[in-house]
Order: sequence, then structure tokens, then C-alpha cells
Amino acid sequence: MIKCTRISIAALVVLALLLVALVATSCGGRTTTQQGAGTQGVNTGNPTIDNAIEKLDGQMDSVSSDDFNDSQLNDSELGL
Amino acid sequence: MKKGVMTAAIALAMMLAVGTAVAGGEQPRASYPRSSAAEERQDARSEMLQQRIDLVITRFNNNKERHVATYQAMKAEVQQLISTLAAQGYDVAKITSDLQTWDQMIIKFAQDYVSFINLLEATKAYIPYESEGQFAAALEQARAQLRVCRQDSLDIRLYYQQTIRADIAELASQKPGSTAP
Repeated sequence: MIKCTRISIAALVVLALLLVALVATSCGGRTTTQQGAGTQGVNTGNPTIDNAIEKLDGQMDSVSSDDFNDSQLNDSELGL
Repeated sequence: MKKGVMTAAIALAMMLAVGTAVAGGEQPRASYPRSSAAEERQDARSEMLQQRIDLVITRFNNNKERHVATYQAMKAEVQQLISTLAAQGYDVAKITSDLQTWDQMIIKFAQDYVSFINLLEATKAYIPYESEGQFAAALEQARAQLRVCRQDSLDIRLYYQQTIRADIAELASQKPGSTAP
């Protein structure tokens, strides 16, 4: 009986950990301001505005601030 | 008398021996070629370093051109939209003003970037080994300026997301013509 309870608790803990990991993974991408220009779907009811926003989102997503990451100045071969 | 001659001969022999030893000691002057080989290695490394820095500058310039071209294209797109919507009677005062702020941010990014490249170019003036401290300090300055450029590009992105995009979306809620003169 005690053994059965211990196994159930262990299974519950594993399930809880899995759930936490799943939630963390799904939230991780949304909190960043780096990726995605706010492309959560555009539907203002005005096609001119919707098209403009979609086009602008695509343009903004075509560049990344990581292009100016200072790690790009590192050069291990030269000891930098 | 004979003793004196003997002593003089021994002294002369000793002087000769010391002279030969001293002359022999100078022979390691063959270390000159060794030091020049080291200098050659240093020169080669310095040259390689300068080439690497040139390569980095080219890469960053390409990135900067791509970013500025994108921002300019986006600005033109928004301006076009403003013209279209203004002609239809939309009130575009807020987005017009915010677009100017955004433009200033793009100009700041381009200016900070020029400073970064200048600092990176300056590192080439310091040859490592001979002025390693100055080289490292100059590189650190360039690195700090690069962080400013990166922050500028993040600010541009954030301003688009939170202000420009929101302004455009908000225009859809207007009743065209109701605020037009």
C-alpha cells in the first residue's frame, strides 16, 4: 500500500515537472522582444491597414539586432 | 730576470685566453637572426589581425546597410499609408509625429554606427605586442560602442512594435471623413 502511494507521488511529481517544462517552453518565445515584430495576426477590418501591417512586420522580422552582437568581435585564433 | 719573463709570458697568455673567450662569447650574436624571425612572426600576426579587423568591418557594414535599407523602406511604406489614409479623411497627426521620432532613432543608429567603425579602425593603429594594452583598450571601446548600436536597433524595433504598429492599427477604428476638414 505504502509502495503504491510512493509510486503515485513520484508519477505525479514527474507529470508536474513535465507540465512546468511545457508551459516554460511555450511562454519562452513570447516574452522576447527580439524575435517577431508583433505578428500575432492582423485583423483590424480594414484591408489597407491589415496589408500594410503585415508587410511592415515582415520587413522588421527580416533584420535582427543580433547582427550587432559584440560576440562577433571575438576571434579565438587571435586571442580576442 | 727569467722569473719576470715567465710571469710576463703567463700574463700575456692569460690575456689572450680571456680575449678569445670574450670574442667567443659574442658569437651568440647569431641570436640576431633568431630575434628577427620572432619579429617576422609578430609582423605576420599583426598583418593577419589587421586583415581580420577589415573583414569584421566589411561584415558589420553589410549588416548596417541591410538594417538602414530595411528601416528606410519601412518608413516609406508608412509614409505611403499616411498619404493614402489622409486622402480618405483619416486623422494621421499622431502617426505623422511618431514617424518623425522613429526617423530620429534611425538617424541615431546610423551615427552611432559610424562612431563604432571609427573606433574599430583605430584599433589597427596599435600593433599588438608593441602596444598590446592600447590595442586591447581600443578594442574594448569599439566593443562598448557596438553595444550602443545594438541597443539602438533594439529601440527601433521596440518603437515600431509598441508605437508605429499600434498607431496604424488604431487608425482602423476611426470613421474616415468625420474628422476631415
